[in-house]
Amino acid sequence: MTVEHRDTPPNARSAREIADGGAAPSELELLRAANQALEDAVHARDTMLSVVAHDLRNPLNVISLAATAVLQRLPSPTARRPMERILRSAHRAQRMVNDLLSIGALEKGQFALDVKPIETSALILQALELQQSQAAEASIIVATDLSPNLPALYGDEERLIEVLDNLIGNAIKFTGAGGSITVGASARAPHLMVWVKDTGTGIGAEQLPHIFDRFWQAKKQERRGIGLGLSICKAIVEAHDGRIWAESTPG
Amino acid sequence: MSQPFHILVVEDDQDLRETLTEVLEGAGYTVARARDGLDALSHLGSALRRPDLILLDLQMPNMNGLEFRTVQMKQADLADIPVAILTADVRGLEEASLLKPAALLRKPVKLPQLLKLIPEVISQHASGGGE
Repeated sequence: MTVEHRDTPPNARSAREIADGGAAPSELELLRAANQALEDAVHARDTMLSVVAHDLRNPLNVISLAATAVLQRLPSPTARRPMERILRSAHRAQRMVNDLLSIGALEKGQFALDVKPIETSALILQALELQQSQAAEASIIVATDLSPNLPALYGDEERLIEVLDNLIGNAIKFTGAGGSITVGASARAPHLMVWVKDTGTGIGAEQLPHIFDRFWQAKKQERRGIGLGLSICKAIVEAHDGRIWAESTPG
Repeated sequence: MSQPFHILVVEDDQDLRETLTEVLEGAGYTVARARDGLDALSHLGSALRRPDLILLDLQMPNMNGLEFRTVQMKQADLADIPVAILTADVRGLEEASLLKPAALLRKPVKLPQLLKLIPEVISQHASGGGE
């Protein structure tokens, strides 16, 4: 056995090196190996998340389709209520699945848009309809403030509904009973501005810049959702060459 | 009275296939089912009635939607049946549109959208606008 000059004392040698008596891997090699192991683990996690999310879509689609079909046959509000709740929960789960898939696609740079002309007010009304029963159950009034003759917009309808759905869902989450939510749109050539306003508690000025960060939550101790929604909204809006921001008056 | 329109649902997820069948039957259509592209081809080869529309999922085992559509388009007796493609993946849309579907429907399927689309596609095709 030869003795070589080392920067580290003998007891710092790795277990593997001692076991096989081979040449010591350099610190850089060890770091590279550790880094590779981490990258592999992250990749395995992302693959698993994406597979789970994909596989959840069909069962969730079955739940919402079947619930919609049953709902159409139920005349009485009392009978409809539990079915509406099933539908809403399926819808919420679908949204989380979409968020997970969107974030995966964004990270891989595979975030694609299916751009077509869309009728703006129909888009907004469709997004509102998804949340109507939730708002009603929470005793929140929902109103619209749409300028007449809104121009059509070019975009990915599903993605833009996802944005509005997220914003309206958030507004409902943070607005108390008796409060109200308004969804408005007006043309500011060459842009179209769509806004969601609520009478909730508001967000402090120091928090405002962070609300579009990934995994950011308004109240960490009251974890609700995965905290991906607004960061995805931002990505979708920016992919449409748009801008998203928040204004708030706490209190 | 004329016969109701007939739809072939090609979807590998059994629950989704059955649910689509039920909602379409509830809307007054008659429905045949296939669990993948191969099953659909064998159904079309032996069925007493040609469908007025094929509702086609893309991701399926054995023979996927794109493979099925490629075969169907080459078969003279089947080529003119309009196909509405169901897909969850926007990245596949471009590839799917090369297969000249009568319509592309994004998954998750929403009932109002589906029930609005079907009569549009069938009547468009019947008037010769589907090609």
